[in-house]
Amino acid sequence: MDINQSEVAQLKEYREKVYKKSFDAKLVIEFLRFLRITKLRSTRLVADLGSTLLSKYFSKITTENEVTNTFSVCVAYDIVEQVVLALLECNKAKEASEFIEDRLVKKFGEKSVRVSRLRAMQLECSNTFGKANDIYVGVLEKYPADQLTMKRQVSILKSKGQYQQAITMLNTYLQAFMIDPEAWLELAHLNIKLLSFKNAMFCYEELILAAPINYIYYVKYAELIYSIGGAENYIVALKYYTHSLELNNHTSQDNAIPPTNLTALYGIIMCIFSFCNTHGYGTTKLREPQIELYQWCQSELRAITAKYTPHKLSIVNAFIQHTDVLNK
Amino acid sequence: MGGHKNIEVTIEAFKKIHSHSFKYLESAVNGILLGTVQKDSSIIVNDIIPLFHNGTLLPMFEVAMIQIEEYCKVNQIDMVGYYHITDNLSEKEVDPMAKKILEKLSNELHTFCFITIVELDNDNQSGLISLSSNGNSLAKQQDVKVVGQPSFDTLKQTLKQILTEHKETKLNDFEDYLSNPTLDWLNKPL
Repeated sequence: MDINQSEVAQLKEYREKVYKKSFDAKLVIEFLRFLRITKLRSTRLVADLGSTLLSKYFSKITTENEVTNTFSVCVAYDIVEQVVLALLECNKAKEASEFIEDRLVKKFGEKSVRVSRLRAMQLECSNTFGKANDIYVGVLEKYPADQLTMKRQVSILKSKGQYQQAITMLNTYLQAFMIDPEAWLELAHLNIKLLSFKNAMFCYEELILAAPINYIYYVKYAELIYSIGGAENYIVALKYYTHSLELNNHTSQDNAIPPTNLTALYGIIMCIFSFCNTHGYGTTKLREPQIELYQWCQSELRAITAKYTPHKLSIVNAFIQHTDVLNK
Repeated sequence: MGGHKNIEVTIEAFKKIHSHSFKYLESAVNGILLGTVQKDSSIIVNDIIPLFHNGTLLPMFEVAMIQIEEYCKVNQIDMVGYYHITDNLSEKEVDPMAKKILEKLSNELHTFCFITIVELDNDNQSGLISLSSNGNSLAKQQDVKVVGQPSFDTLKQTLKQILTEHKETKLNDFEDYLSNPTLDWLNKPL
């Protein structure tokens, strides 16, 4: 979840390179590897380039040392899996199925759990959820603690639009695997979708405990509690936004990369603004440090805008004036 | 939302809405439609402001709305609607958050429309439909046409071109801007 700006920049660079050049197998392999390591998403590109790579150069990449020196056979099958998943996400079930049957089943046989999971996902992609679920049930009979398979079952419920059942199932899963942040994140997401903000907040509390230095979790928590509303909640949200800013302290003075946490700056201003508007509190209930923080955010926002997007200065200034509580 | 009024989008708005859903094909996306309301209360959508792709929560939505309002005032253009594109085609009901946003907008604006994406086919050449509220659920109101009524082939070609040239990655929404201020949510024409 944590957005690493240098990785994002690298991704952009890679994208430009692979667009411009004619197909370069070495570059594509490097690009795919980069995506696997960083877990960044570029689905359509992976599907397009990957299927070309696999259909034309597969024999080459499985025989070692031909394309790159460091390339090994097992990595070749990682690529197959990566490309199959991307194809499924782009709704190209047929192409994906060809790779699964020709490349994977031949190599690893029918009984491989990893391959049967991909087969089931291909069935999910073609909307035959019943059959897919049968495969998952079969895998779980043999390996009752297979987390990935259980999570696929949740995703079947999700794709059928049965969100409430998906939540119930995820809760059962999380009772057994409490330290799976991905599952907590998904549960939070589902709860937000159904507007159960309190439940979603509980999930983010778990996530904060698991990764206390990830600023994004604090931002989300603040947004949730702000969405519930009420004077007290605005102040809690303010604290979480502020802490996220402490963890992610790229300011307008920082020249290396643009600030990445504008959400917190805007959030702090909104918290103070909404707090002062509740029950007509006005600024009387604000404390000195809160006012200082508020003013700092305003000037920081102006500085960032002037530096990076000067043409938006009038819009941002209008926002600051609209939410100004001190000079009213 | 009432009545059966005509809704048309310019080719630019058409491109941008589809690009937004192409860029974040794994998640639900939403945004604001800008344009003009004619005297007979038909709507022309000239441009769009893409908003979020990782779920929408109140604070940043309010921030976006305040800024868009200012932009509209200066550029003499109106907010005429809202679009929400789901990440799940088998979803039967309209996203609860989208419903909430619609309620909020209907209190503030006289005439506005709610647009979503469906599959492009002969009956629905732009892939856009407008929905109208019908008690608790939303029902399809009409197909949205593109201004000038270009042929189906032209429209398909336009979208294909976006995808082959990867133009959808050039579109930035408000959420992109929040994590990198150099990205402009007032996207230039694609």
